[in-house]
Amino acid sequence: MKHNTDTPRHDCNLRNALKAIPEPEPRLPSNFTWRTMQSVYTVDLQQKRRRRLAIRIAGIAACSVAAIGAIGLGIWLAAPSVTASMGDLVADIHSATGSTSPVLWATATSALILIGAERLLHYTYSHRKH
Amino acid sequence: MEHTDSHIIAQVLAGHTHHFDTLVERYSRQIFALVVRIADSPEDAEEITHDVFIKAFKHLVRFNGTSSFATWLYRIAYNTAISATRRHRPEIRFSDEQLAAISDTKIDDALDDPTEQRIALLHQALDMLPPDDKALVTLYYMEDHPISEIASITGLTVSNVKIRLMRTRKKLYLLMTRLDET
Repeated sequence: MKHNTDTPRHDCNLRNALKAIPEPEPRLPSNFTWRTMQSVYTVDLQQKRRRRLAIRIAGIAACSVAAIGAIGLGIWLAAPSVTASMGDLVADIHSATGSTSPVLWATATSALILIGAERLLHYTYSHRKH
Repeated sequence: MEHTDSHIIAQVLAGHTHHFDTLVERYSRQIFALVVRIADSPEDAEEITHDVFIKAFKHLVRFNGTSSFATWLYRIAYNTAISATRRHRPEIRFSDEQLAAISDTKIDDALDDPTEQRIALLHQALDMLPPDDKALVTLYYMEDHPISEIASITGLTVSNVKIRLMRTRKKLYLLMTRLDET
């Protein structure tokens, strides 16, 4: 046992009495090994990863909806004529090509916003981590 | 041949994570012995000890060798056990006047030639201490850690550790007296 040189003389009785207190039972189980701990740790890690992914997807979806809404609202408020002319343009394209161009336009815009939001979230996360 | 802690740590950091088992085997009993005195139950202590090693493994890269690995591990154990236990238990407080009225040697006088009953009383009083005081008593009196090492584990200064120990001795005396009267 280590010899503790810090012990003031008036502490000896207390030290002896404290050492006479019986050890708490039960002791650490014999299967307390890194192997068993590591398996729990791996499961924890997987759960954390899944949770992080779910949060990321929810974040992207929320950002996208907010961004599309904000852009639409902004254009509508700032320049109703632009909204109208955009509507006309989309209608013209639709009538000229007879295709589903407006749907393609909307999809492409959403995809761009999604990618942007994802990159932004990714950057924010990795920046915070390091 | 028994490898040193720093050799094992280097192995673990190099990717041979199974070597961490040697560190668990080497220190789990000591860490548990500290934690079980602070925690509310042996089951909690086991869980906290588990958390301590997981934290140590996760942050092993941050261990810079300024203290021994054991001290670093004790520091994690101390912080984890204190924060896990603190929220559970209401603290019995003593005023500065109450503590100042007690001489530092009072507890030692009360334990001169202690009977089993006095030791049981001391045990009860120890259980009533707040977790950080209990940790100090365990580290200093029961496990014989030097004050400088306790300071490193707890993050307190050496003089703060001494003052806290003095106050804890007085608290123990007051608690024992209170228990004796009931």
